[in-house]
Amino acid sequence: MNQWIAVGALALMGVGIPLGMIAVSSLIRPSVPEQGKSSTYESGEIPTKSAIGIQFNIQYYMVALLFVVFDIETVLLFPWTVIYQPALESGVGLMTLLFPMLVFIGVLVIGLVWAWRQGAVKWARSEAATRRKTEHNS
Amino acid sequence: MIIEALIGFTFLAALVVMLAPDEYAGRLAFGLSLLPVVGSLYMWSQFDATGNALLEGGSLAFETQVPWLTAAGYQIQWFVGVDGISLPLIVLATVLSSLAILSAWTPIDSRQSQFFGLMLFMEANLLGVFTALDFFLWFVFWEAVLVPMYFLIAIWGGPRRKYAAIKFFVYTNIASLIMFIGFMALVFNLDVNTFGLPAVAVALRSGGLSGAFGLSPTALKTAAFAAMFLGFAVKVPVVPFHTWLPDAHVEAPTPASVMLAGVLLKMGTYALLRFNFTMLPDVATQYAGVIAIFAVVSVIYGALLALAQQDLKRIVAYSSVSSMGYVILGLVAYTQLGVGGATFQMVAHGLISGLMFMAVGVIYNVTHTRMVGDMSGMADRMPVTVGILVAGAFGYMGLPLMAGFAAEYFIFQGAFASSVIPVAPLFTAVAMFGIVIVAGYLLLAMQRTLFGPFRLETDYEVTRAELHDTLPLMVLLLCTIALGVAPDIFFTMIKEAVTPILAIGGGA
Amino acid sequence: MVVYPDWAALAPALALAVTGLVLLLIDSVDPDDSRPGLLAGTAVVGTLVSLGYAGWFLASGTGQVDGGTGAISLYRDALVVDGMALFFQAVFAVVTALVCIASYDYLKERAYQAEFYSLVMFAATGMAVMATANSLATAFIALELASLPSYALVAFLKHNRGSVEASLKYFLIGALSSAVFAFGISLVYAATGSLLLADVASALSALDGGLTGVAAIGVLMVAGGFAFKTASVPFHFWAPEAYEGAPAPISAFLSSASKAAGFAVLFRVFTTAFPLDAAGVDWMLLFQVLAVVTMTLGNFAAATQETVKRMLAYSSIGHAGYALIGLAAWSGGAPGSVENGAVLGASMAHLLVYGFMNTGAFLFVALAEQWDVGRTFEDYAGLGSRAPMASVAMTVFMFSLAGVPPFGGFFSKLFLFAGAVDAGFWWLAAVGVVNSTLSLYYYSRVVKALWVDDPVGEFELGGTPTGLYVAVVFAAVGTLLLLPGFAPVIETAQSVAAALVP
Repeated sequence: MNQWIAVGALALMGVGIPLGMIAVSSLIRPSVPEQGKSSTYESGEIPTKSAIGIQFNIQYYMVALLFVVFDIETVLLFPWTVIYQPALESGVGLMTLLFPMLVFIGVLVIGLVWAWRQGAVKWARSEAATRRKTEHNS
Repeated sequence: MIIEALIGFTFLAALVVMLAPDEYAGRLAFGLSLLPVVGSLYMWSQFDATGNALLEGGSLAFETQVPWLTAAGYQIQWFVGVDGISLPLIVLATVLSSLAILSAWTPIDSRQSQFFGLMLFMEANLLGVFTALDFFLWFVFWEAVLVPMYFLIAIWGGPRRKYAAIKFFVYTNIASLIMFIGFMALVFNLDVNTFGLPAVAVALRSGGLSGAFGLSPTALKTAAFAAMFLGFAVKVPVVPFHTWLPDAHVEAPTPASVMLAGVLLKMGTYALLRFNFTMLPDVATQYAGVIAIFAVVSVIYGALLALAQQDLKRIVAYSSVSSMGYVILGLVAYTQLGVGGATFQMVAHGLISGLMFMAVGVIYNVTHTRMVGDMSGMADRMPVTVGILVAGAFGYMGLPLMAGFAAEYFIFQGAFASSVIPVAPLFTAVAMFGIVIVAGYLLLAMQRTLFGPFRLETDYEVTRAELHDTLPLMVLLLCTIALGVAPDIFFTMIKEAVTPILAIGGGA
Repeated sequence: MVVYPDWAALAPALALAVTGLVLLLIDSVDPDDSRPGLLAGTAVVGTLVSLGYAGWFLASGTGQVDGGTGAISLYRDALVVDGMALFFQAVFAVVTALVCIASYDYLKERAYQAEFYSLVMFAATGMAVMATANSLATAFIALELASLPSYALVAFLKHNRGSVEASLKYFLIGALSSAVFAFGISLVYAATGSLLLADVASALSALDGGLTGVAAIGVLMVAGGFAFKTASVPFHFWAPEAYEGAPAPISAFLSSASKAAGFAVLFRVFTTAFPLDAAGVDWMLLFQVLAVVTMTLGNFAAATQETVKRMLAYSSIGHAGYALIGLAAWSGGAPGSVENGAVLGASMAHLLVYGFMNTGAFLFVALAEQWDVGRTFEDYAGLGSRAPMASVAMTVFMFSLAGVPPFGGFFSKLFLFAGAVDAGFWWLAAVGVVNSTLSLYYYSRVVKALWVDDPVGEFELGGTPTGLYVAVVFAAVGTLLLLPGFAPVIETAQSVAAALVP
């Protein structure tokens, strides 16, 4: 009736094409079951373990989280720095301009200090990691 | 202010006793409960109200009216006051509470501070019920009475106490709910902006009700009357809504039974008088015949049930059903003597049933049985208690010069002359026949248990009762005789308070 | 007189946020939680400051129509401080204070205490902002700010499988409903071109047919998002699990404050952004159905439970059903009219009373957990004589929750049902009354166990945790005082509710 039909058609196509491809290929491909096909692909190496159960050190996540926080901080800081000088010149007060950003950074700093003190960036503290390392060395 | 002081003091006393050590709780509670007695007697001496609290031309004693909050355009107030109907009941409530606390010293042997605290808490709420003149305030007190009674039965009761307590709680709560809805239906379709009972009563009597829910005003009135009657009838109790009563009474500890029969049942008849018969006299008179049938059936059926019991407490419990039937009959008569006598009977029955329950309790304390077949000849061992019990029983049967006689005489005379009940003389005659049955079962039970050679089937040493056990009995007996000899000490004010109620109902 | 800047009106929320940060600082200085009293004390002081601000603003008329400045709009209308926001902020502050006092004992000898309190503070901040949210975007952000700490708090007992499992369920359903909520917002935005509630309302009214369907689906999805936060059908599945698995103070926090926060934003969004005649969907009918289903399901499920905590969890769902009556029977009358406030205000007052009695009930469960007496009704037998004070308090909570007259819960339910009858929805009130009657059954089971039943075996209570006792007794006193003191509460609630629709 109206332009919504186009949207519907697009959705239909979007779902239909991949499903169709899978269906067609499963129909026409030869089926040769072989053990090697079900093993994990590791650049030609023979896999030593299953991927399930490999544990990364939790510290990786901690650092990643801190990184994301400061990444977002940058996103907010950047436009602020760009308008900072023009805004000052057009007569916006220093407090109005500076204070909110200081509060924002202050909040982040409190978080960072807290995380630091809690040992979030202290490397390889976990017993499991230490044990694995010593096992590897011996 | 004295009403607030009394209620506040009693609540405070309940709290104090609740926190007191178990050993002193009973003595402390009794001491504290004397002050409300003195207070209520002082109120009596200063009583200056005229007319009915709810109707035009009446003035209240000790009135306080303070706005509390506004709900959906309706004013809720702290509104208390006393008239000739409520004052005798207040005196009854304070005196009986005090004596019940005294009588609880012996039988209650665990968690005393909680027990006596709950008794005082109940007394405070009872005072509230009989003084509150705002529907909400009244309803809060009305419901709050249930909570302590539930615990009193459920904790200190007999073997089937949990069942009895739940049954009591559920019956009376559902009844309250039905009554509540009935009253709300009236108020919401009335041109008033308050839940104050006087305003509602006056508006209802002057016919300011509009129809609702597709019902005409008359039909709505009738439906609300039925809902409220049902709600209160459970409390009274009127046959066939009485089945919770024997269970509750038998399982309840004696002091709780005393309060239950002596004061809590009166809440039902008091509310019937205040709400149904004062506010909706036209419906009451129209269906007077039906209500009279309920009343007479309660009288006869209750008495017959009592006749069939073996448990002394059950006998007294069922006889309460019978006695409350007289009250209903008196109320529906719509004559001064009938309604006044019914109010008087509330007090008289409160005293006498309290006396009977207490006396049975004293006997139970020493014999540990209440079964008629388990004992005989108790008169030899406990002359004082038995003497008072016999006197009380005669009071029940309507011996002249005792309160029961006066009350029943007023009621019968009032009912006989009623122009409202169809074939009033017949109803009266049938109800009077109830007295014969009462005499029958009481004499039979007493003859088998109290007289004859001594025999007891339980292994307990029978000793004389302590003074603090028999003292409340004596006090109650004296009160009963005093009211019988000089009923006018209450009856004058009662008559004055009930007369305005009859203005429409009696004449119509 | 000092003229305060506009943003000072956010003081109740700011106080909570600052307290959270201060707690983190304390923890940075002293990472070993060696001074639990200081942590709990800081948290309690922070919540009391927040409560003080909210109470002061309410009393002095800040943001209110009567004797005040009218609603204060902040940050280009993204936030608004009005009477309703302050009312709810007061509720959150009270509940949070009770929870913090009680947690002092509950957390004894446990690790990560500072984190616990600061997470509670941040969640409370989120709730306080939810109450002020005046745009769908801030509503979403605030809702997430309240939810994310809650997920962590539910899993606080991380060596307890029940706690972790509860948290995961809570998180998954939370994520799902957030997605639904965000999708709903985007559809509403697509139809109206704005996220600000007032602009959404005017754009909806000006909508000429074509996009009404889109908007209607958006409205439905937004309702779904709020149903999660308020633990209403159909997003209620998480509630029994989360409340049962979580530490009991957190159950109290979630079932009282978090639920109230959901209702705060629900009330504001639906009454101001989605006008009944233009929303494309009769959301009153929707909430009528939800209210009836929620209260019936909650109450019937509660009646069949064996453990007290789970019973309370289901009863909390039931109470969400009662509170929904506020919207289900909303009059939708002329802007600013008194009728608008009647039933909505009653619902808000119910949430306040509920804040006291339900928090108290869960804290009693915390007390029982502390004593290690067990979880079922039978395990509570005989507590009445061992711990009379706390048991009296619990009795008050149970009767009040059931709506038995001498307690605060009676009036709030009464006003709610009376409001529904007044608005012409007597059948809603009837269902509510029937449910309340049913609820008396399972609430009285607790009372019966406490006072009447004889204990199965001998047991000793290990001491009396002062903080928990104080919190429980305080909640009981609050529940009792709300009976005589109900007048200012209901009057405030109804007037601020009436002012909600400008």
